[in-house]
Order: sequence, then structure tokens, then C-alpha cells
Amino acid sequence: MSALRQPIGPGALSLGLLAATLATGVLVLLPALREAAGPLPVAAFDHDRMVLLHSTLPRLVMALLCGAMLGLAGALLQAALGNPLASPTTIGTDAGARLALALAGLFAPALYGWGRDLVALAGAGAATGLVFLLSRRQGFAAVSLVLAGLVVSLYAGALAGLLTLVEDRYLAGLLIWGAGSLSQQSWEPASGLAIRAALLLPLALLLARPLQLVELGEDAARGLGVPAERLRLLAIALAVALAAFVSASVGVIGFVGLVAPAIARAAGATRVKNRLVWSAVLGGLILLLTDLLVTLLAGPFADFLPTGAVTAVLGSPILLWLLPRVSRGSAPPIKPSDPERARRRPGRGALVLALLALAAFAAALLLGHAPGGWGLATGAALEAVLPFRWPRLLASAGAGALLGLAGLLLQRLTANPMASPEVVGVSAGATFAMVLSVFLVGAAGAASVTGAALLGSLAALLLVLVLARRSGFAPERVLLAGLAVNALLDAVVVVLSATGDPRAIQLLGWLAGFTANVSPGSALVVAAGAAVLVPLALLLQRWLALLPLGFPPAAALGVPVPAARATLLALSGLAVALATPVIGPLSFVGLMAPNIVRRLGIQAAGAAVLASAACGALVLLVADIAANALAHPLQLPTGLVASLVGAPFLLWLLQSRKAA
Amino acid sequence: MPSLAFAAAAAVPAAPAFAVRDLHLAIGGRAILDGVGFDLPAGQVTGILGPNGSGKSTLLKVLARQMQADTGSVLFEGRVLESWRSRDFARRVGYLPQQLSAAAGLTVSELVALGRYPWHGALGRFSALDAEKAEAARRITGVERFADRLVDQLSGGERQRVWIAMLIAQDAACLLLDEPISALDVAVQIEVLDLVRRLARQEGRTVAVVLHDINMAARFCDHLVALRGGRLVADGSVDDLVRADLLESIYAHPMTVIPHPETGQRIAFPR
Amino acid sequence: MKAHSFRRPAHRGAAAVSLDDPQGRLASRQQFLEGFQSVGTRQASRRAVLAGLAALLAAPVLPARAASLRVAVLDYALAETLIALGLPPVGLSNARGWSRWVVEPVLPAGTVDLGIDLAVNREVLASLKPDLILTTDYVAQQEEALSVIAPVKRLTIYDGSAPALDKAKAVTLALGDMVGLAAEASRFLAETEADFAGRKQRNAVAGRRPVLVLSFMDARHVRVYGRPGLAAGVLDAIGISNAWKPETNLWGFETVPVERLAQAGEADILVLDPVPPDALPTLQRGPLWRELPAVKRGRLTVLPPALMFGALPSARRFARFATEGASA
Repeated sequence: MSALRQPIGPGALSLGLLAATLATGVLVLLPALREAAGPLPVAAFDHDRMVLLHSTLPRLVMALLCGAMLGLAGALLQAALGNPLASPTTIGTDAGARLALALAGLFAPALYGWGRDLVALAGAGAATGLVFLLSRRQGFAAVSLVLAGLVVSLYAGALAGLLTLVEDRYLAGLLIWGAGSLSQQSWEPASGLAIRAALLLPLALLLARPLQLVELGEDAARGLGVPAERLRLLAIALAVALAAFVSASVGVIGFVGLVAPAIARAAGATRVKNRLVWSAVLGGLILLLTDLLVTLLAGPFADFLPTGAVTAVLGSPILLWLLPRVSRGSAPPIKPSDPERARRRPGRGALVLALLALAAFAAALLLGHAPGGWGLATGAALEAVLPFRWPRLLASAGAGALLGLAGLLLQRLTANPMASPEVVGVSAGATFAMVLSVFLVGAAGAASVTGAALLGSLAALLLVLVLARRSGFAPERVLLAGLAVNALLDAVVVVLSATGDPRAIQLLGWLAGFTANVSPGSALVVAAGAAVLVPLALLLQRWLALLPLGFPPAAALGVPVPAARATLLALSGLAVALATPVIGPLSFVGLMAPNIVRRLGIQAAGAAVLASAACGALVLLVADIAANALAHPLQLPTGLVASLVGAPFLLWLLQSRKAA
Repeated sequence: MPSLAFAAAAAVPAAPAFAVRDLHLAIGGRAILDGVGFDLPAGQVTGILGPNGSGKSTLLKVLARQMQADTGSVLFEGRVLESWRSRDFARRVGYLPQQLSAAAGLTVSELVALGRYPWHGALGRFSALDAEKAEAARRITGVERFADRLVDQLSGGERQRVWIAMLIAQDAACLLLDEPISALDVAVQIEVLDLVRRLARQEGRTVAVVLHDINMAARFCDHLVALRGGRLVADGSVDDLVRADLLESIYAHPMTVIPHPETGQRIAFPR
Repeated sequence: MKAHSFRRPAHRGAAAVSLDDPQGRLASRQQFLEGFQSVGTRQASRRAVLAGLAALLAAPVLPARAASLRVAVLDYALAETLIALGLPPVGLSNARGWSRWVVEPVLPAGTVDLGIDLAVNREVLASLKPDLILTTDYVAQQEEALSVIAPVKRLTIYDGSAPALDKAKAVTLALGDMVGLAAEASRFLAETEADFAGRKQRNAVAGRRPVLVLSFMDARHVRVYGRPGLAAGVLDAIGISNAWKPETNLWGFETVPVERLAQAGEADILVLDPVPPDALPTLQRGPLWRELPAVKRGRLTVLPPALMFGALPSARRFARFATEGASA
């Protein structure tokens, strides 16, 4: 076989996997098979035989089929984008399908068959398109694409989260779907999916040869007469369809689409056609083996454990393994920035933003639902509500300022406008620690949870620092390490939620960021944190101006680059650690504020620090007002409201080109 | 041959700016620098030549303290490179990397002003002297007229001048430039190198510049150094180097050298 | 109406309010609101536990002016107990979901909705001028913020310290003590136990088959209720055998794929509403489901909603459905 350039080879690897799968399969099936081989029982209902024939066997076929389709989808995406990190999981396809299916579950719960497929397709397509829009500016560079994918995934998750919180009777069903359970009760879904796969597979193989040319580069392909643009689009559409069909029939199975092509490539399948075929084969075997192992190890009486959640937990570390392979040479090409002029007096812009934030604070203190209706509170009425309002608003403003600051620091540090505290893993670390404290220790008090969050984010920060130290805190490494941490957290949350544990909704509450009943103490801590860290960042504004120039120029000017990077990283990590327990990891304020400030033309480092902090506070204050006004007496989670309102705005900002 | 005469006159230096001795540097088992040693004369423009992968950029990075050699020593102004404090070093030596960041969102005068960092540091005040130096740098390099434009919207040649202006604002006595004219068209190449030579001649700065084009090097440099496979294969004046046999050994391709029909300067081209 | 052919009884009065809720799955809000610590549960001497817990929890801090006591509650189970004791809460979190998940006892119209239980609206709460705020472990992180309004007391049924029914009894007594209605609480408890005892006798006479109690999550997954949950406790108390033998989590359920139901053999199946509309039709197309003895012989009953994570009132409601079928 010409594909075998290395000793192992995908064929041999597949054989090995097949052997392992068969062995496990025999272990799992042996009792049932022995039963089936025995004499027919007299009783009318032989439940073991029924389960074997109509549940176990279709489940095995389903695992094989889903794995193969996901492997193929991943390989197609990677070839079309020339990006080894691309997969339905990493570019938002899965998250889109999940959200669309959740919405369908809410508004059209009786859908099945092709109806579900269409819903999943629409969601997957929309999310993927969004990711492409976001990373277009960076030329679909590996890291930027995955960052955008993560942002869109988190956003879709936030939307589903809000739905769940408000309409939580659907929670359990949604969560199981999100976690991807392979359990089957008839052959119908498997045969339906097989038909879909059979329709798409020949198309994928037809694309293999022209895709090989596209891998040479778009211009080169066009020179050879291949309509590269259209071909890429077709391949991506195909991959999205494959992933969406899988999501529609069993839910989200994470990371198989990333892992299978990576293994196929590592095993020596270098040509596109070989990669497509072997990715499908390996994907099928990997998912089947995982499913069998889950069945075997979990045992019949263990807690319910969806296979999709298991692949996600096992798969996210694979991202870490893949990272060193892509970070070199994947730096986004230098693109001209938006044709906007830098402001002559950036300080004035920062001042205006700060005044606006102050005005919003005052307005929110006075405005609200009073017993008599919505309006201004004065005198005694104001006195009555003030103790409830000020901690909430102070916490929102402080958290907003901290996140705005952290976002600005990270974007300057990485020279990437998609960098945000949500993606460096610090928020994830905080959330992770909160989860652990509740699920393992059973902590209940606000203080212990906040303490855990602080510890968790500092630990995550330390981890990221250690991981990135060897590369001199190279910004891309920091982002990618954070990415993997995030993926892992998401997987663990999905696992915990899918068991139906009622504590999951408390977890959702934290993710959502309820500020309503923040204690005065925490509010003061957050505000004090902002009051200390923002001036500290101002002191370091020279570094902020120099570091985006890159390592060599900054070092040539005498900046101690690694130390400067570590200091700023620690500063942003501390800011996130303080803000996350209050506002949750999903507000996206850290992404929004610096981008808004940039679009306003506030570029000078010092002014940008102030403006970004003020803008973050403003965004969260406005979100807070909205969260309290929209659904009285419900106080919606401020963090989620900020992201739901802010993210489309951000998207528009990133896309719209201001007239020069 | 006026230029040759000039080169000869300038070739009577005092102490060298950089004294490089027996540098070795290997990456992943491959020797990038393999026993390189030479003196970089002060107050002159030295061109560093060599084919792709010969180690010339690496050599410049070692001089700029962007990389560390495995063994060997480099003295700058008589002191071991490692013994310099980074800000002191930056006050003496400016470095222009080959790959320049887009400097997104910075105006020309902002970028030039960043060159004053070694003088005021992270926390110091941006003094009147700093402002004066930055302004002078803009004037000398002729970037004054687009001082308020964003760097990433300039043409390639303009952007290169702005970065050089930043190095001038740095007030460094020695400039290390890594392929400053790659990807520029000919007229702009000459404009940039002309500026570089003027800086050396008029202000007595030392310049080391990595170049690809032997004829550009011959036209603008006082002194040439050539590398091949990480080894120094030539070190001398333009006259010493622009010879067919020597060039052939550098580029591993037969070369012809003829005098320029108008200026008489020697020009080389592959046969 | 549904397309499938299972028995779906007609209903009368308030109990029927949620029946026609066209959507919804069995994940009740309350399922998520109860309980906090995952402590393993062992059946101890029931009476001893009851007495001990009640003594621990009671701590009567308030003068016995029950009639005028204004209580705000962040939990359905405590709210339904208060209503049963004749002291309906003035404010309740998630009050808007009551008619969908609890149904009975009817929530008095005057009860004010306090918003999402994870962040109750303190301005609304304060305007009610409560004398007492009741929380559970689950919403405890707000206690500091709530305590500026009124004294806060925490009573948790689903904390794993005892089987749910026993703990519900203990909490009923403790709550009675707390609000100065100890006599009413004892009476209600006695009434409940008498009701269960009566049903046990009748069931023994009638000779009931074992039952499987479940809620549908989607067309492939169900929650099965078992020990130490409320439903399992009720089944024990009224003398019906629960076909689901394995110990479940501390809320008394386990999420399983539908095929696992096959192991329950000949048991009758009680499904709690709401059922996702596509679940039964989808399953009906597969032989595995059709061949389940209960399905095949038409011994599957869809019951109206009953809070599986409630207190004694919900327990009695479920006991009624379990004994007399959906028409009860």
C-alpha cells in the first residue's frame, strides 16, 4: 500500500484496534451470547435475547457508524482548511447542532427523522459559518479558527444554559442529548443514519483528489484548474452535514472527529484520500471500542454515563498533544488592521466611557421595580432598596472592569483580538474548583465557594504559566493551553450534568453569573480588586505598548520579555480570578470591552487600559439593568444576559468596516 | 573609483564594535554556526552575505542577544555580551528583525517613541529629551510627513523607514538590520539602504546588515562578511570579496564579475 | 390528545390543571432544588431517626403566633408542607411552576413569586415583610444576603441523611415546631400514616403486582425511582412492591436507557406526566418496547404529575395514584 510510509501504518493500526475491539466486544457480549445459544426458554418474554437483538447489536452498529462519520467529517475539515486542529468539536459545529436541537426540543418537541436532521443541520451550519466569519480576518489560521470555535461554542452553551435555567423542565433531556448517549432500542435510528452516510460517503471520496490540490494552497490549486474556493465550501458543507446527522440521532459525541484524523495522519496516512478513508475506519473503531469499554467498566448497575461525554473527557487532552505540532508556523499572517484612525485624544474617550459607566451605576441604583411599578425610587423607598441594589451593582461594575482589563492585557499580550479571559482557562479553573467543592466536599456557604474559585483560577493560572514557560510565555502557547483546559472542563461539566444530578443546576447558576444576591463583602472585594489592579496595569503601560510588536523588537529595546509577559499574565489571571465567582465564566465582557475600545479608536496603551476597564463596567451595568428589568420578578443572570446581548454586538463590531 | 577609495579610507578603524570569536550554535543536532569569528568594524556599514540557511540571520541574532550561542564569545565594546544589562545594551545596540509585526493600532510617531524605552524604562517619565530624540529620528528618516498615520497602513518602504526611525530614536550607536530590503522594489531598496549608509557616514554609527543581493551589498557597504554552511568564508573589503572565484565558493554557482559600464563599480551575476 | 393508546384518564378539578401541558419532560424543577450533600444512606431505626432529626431541626425560635406569621419559602417541599399545616407562604420562589410540577395542594392565589430560586428577588421579598425565610442546603449560598431581611432557617429533606419519606416526616414536625404549629404537624403526620396504613391493608387484600415508577427524559432515557427516594418510601408504606431493586441516588432516581427496563420483567409500569410527546410513539415502533410485558398487556399507566422530590403532601398524592390509578 502506497500510503504506508512509516512502519506502523493506518492499516496495521486499524487491525490492532479491531482486535482490541473484538476482544472487548466478546467480553461484553459473552453472557448474552451464551444465553442466546442455549435452548429457547419457554417463557414468552426472553428479555436477554430481546435486549441483545434490539438494543445491544444496534448500539454497536451505531457506534461504528457515528465514529466513522465523525472521523470522516474531521478529516474533510482538516483537508479543506489545511488545519490539523479543525474538527466538528473544535470549530463550533457540534455546539451549533446541540443548541438547535435544544431549541427544537423546546418549541417542536415531536420532531423526529429528517425533521431533527434539518434542525441539527441548520444549527451546525449557522455556528460553523459564524466561526468562519470570525476567523476570516486571520486567514483561518489554526489557532484563530479554534479560538473562534471555542467562543461560538461557549456562546451556544450560554444560550442553552439560559433556556435551561428559565425552562428547566427540559434540563435533563437536553443534558443527555448534549452528552451523546449511544443507547438504542431498535434498528430504526441505525438504519436511518446508515442511509444518510451512504448518501454522503461517495461525495466525500469524489472530493479527495481535488482536495489534495487545494492542500497545496489556494492559488496553486487555482493554477491547476481547481475551483478551490467552491471545493472547500463543498467539503466543509459535507463535513457539517455528517456531524449534524450524527448529532441529530445520538447527540453530541465530542472529539472523535479530531482524534481519528490526527491518529490516521500520525500513523502515516498522508494523502488526502488515505486520510479520509482511514479516519473513517479509525473513528468507527475508536468510538466502538470506547463504547464497549464504557459498558464493560461502568457495569450494568453503575451510574448512567453517556459515551459522548466520555470521548470528550478522553479527547480534550489530545488537543494538548496536538498543540506542539501546529504552533510553529501557524502564526496568523500579518493583515492590515481596520482602516480606522487612531484617536488624537484617546484619554478623552476613556474619560467618556468612565463617565457613562458612572451614570449607568447611578441610574441602576435609582431605577427599578418598586411595589408601585417600575420607576425611580426616592426617599424612603430608595432607602429600602439601596441595601439590595448597591452590592449587586458594585459587584457588576467591579467584575466588568476586571474582565475588561484582563481582556485588554491578554489581547495585547497575544496580539490576537479573539483572546479573552474566557479562553485562557482561568475562568474554567475557577469554575472547575467550584464544581469540585460542591460535588466532593459538599460546601454550601458562599465564602467557601468563592475561596475555591480563587484557588482554582490561581491554580489554572499557575498551570498555564508552567506549561507556557518553556516557550518564554509565547502567547499562542498560553491560548492553546487554556483552550485544552476549557475543553476538559466543558466535558466534565457535561458528564456531571448528564447523570441528572440536581446539583448540576446549581452549577449552571454559577456558569450563568447571578449577581442579584452577592454579599456586600464579596462586592467590596471585587471593587477593591479593580481599584488596585487597574492602576497597576497603568503603571505597566509601556510594556503593553511594546509587547505587541513581538519578541525580537521588544527584547531589542531592553524589555525583559518573559518576565514582562509573566507579570501581565499573572495580573490578568488575578483579575479573572476575582471576577469569575461573581459573574461566571460566560459573560464575554473580557472579549467585548477591548474590542469596543479598539473600534472607538482608543489605541494608546494607557488610555486603552482605562477605557477597557470602564467599558467592561459599563457593559455589565447595562446588562445588570436589563437582567432585572426584562422578566420581573425574575432576576436573570447578569453574566449570561451580557453575553447574549453583547455577543451579537461584538460580532457586528468585528465584521463591520467603518468608512475610512 | 570614488567609492572604493572611500572604503579604503574608512577601513582604518580603531577598536572593533563587535569582536566575534569561535561561535558554535546547533539546533536539533544541525550546526547553524560552526566556528565563526571576525571583527565588526566600528563606524562602518558591514554587509553579511551568504546563501539561504548559511546562518547569517542567526549570527545577527546572536549579536543582538536574541539568541545565545552554545560556545564561543562575543565582545561588544570590549565587554562580554552577557555582562551587559539589557537596557544598557539596548541604549547602545538597536536590532531590526526580518519579520516585523504589523504594529496594529500604532501611529508612526507612537511607534518611533517606543524606541525611547531603554532610556526611560517601564516606569520613567517620557521627558522632553525623549520627545526631542523621537522627533529628530522622524526628521532624519523622513517619516515626519506621515507621523500621524497608522503604521499598518503604510507601504512597505515607508514602514521599513518607520522601524529604522524607531532604532534611531533609540539613539543606539550600533544598528543590526536583518534583511531590511527584502520584499521591497528596487527604488525603495536603494532609498532604504541609502538612508542606512547616511546614518553611518554622517553620525558615525556602526551598522551590520544582512543582505541577499551581492550588488546592493557591494554598492552600500564598506565591509563584507560571507557565511556558508555556518562557517565564515570571507571577511574583507568590497574589493576583496567581489571576485568571481570567491563568489562562486560562497554561492556554489559559477559567477561572473564585470565592471559597471557607467559607474565602474564591480557587479556580479550568475553565469 | 396523544396518538398512542395508553390509558390516559380524565381528571377533575385543580389536579387536572397541568394535564394538557402539551410539552415538558419529567425533569421537575424541584428535582434540582433539593438536597445537597451526597452522603450515603443507610436505613436506621426509622422511629429513632425521626425523633432525633425532629429534635435537631426544630429549635423553635419564634413565638407561637402562627396565624399571623409571614413565611417566605425557597423550596416546593417546604411550601407544600406549610400549606398542609394551614399556613401558606406569603412568597415562594418559582411559584409560576407550581401548577406544572406540584399541582396539589393548590397554591393560594395571594402567594407572591420570588423569582428564580438561585437568586430570589430580594426587593420583592423585603416588600412582603416576612417574619421567617426558609431555605434548603441547595439555595444556602444566599443565606447571608437574605438574613438582612428576616431570620433564615434551613430545612433540607434531600440531604441523604435518611430515606426521603422518613426525612420528610421529620422535617414536617420540625417545621411545625418552628412556626408554632407543632400540634397541626403531629396531626398531619398521623393522618398521613393512617392513610398509608389503610392503603396498605387494601393493597394486601387486592394482591398488587410489583410496579416500576418512571419519568421519561427523552425517547431513549428514563428516570426510574427507587430507594431511598420518596416514591420508593411511599410504595413500601402502602404495601406495593417496587420492581426497581438497586439503590439509587439520594434523590431516589436513576437515569437509565430504556432497554434496562426489560430486567424488571412482569412489573406494571407507572409513568409520571409530563411525557415528551415523541417518546411513546417512537418507542412503540421498536419491538424491544412493544414486547415489554407491561406494554404488551396494557398495564402501563400514565399518571398526572406528582412531585417526586416533595414532602408529605406529594407523598400522599402519589400514594393515591399508585393505589387507585390515575383517576384517583
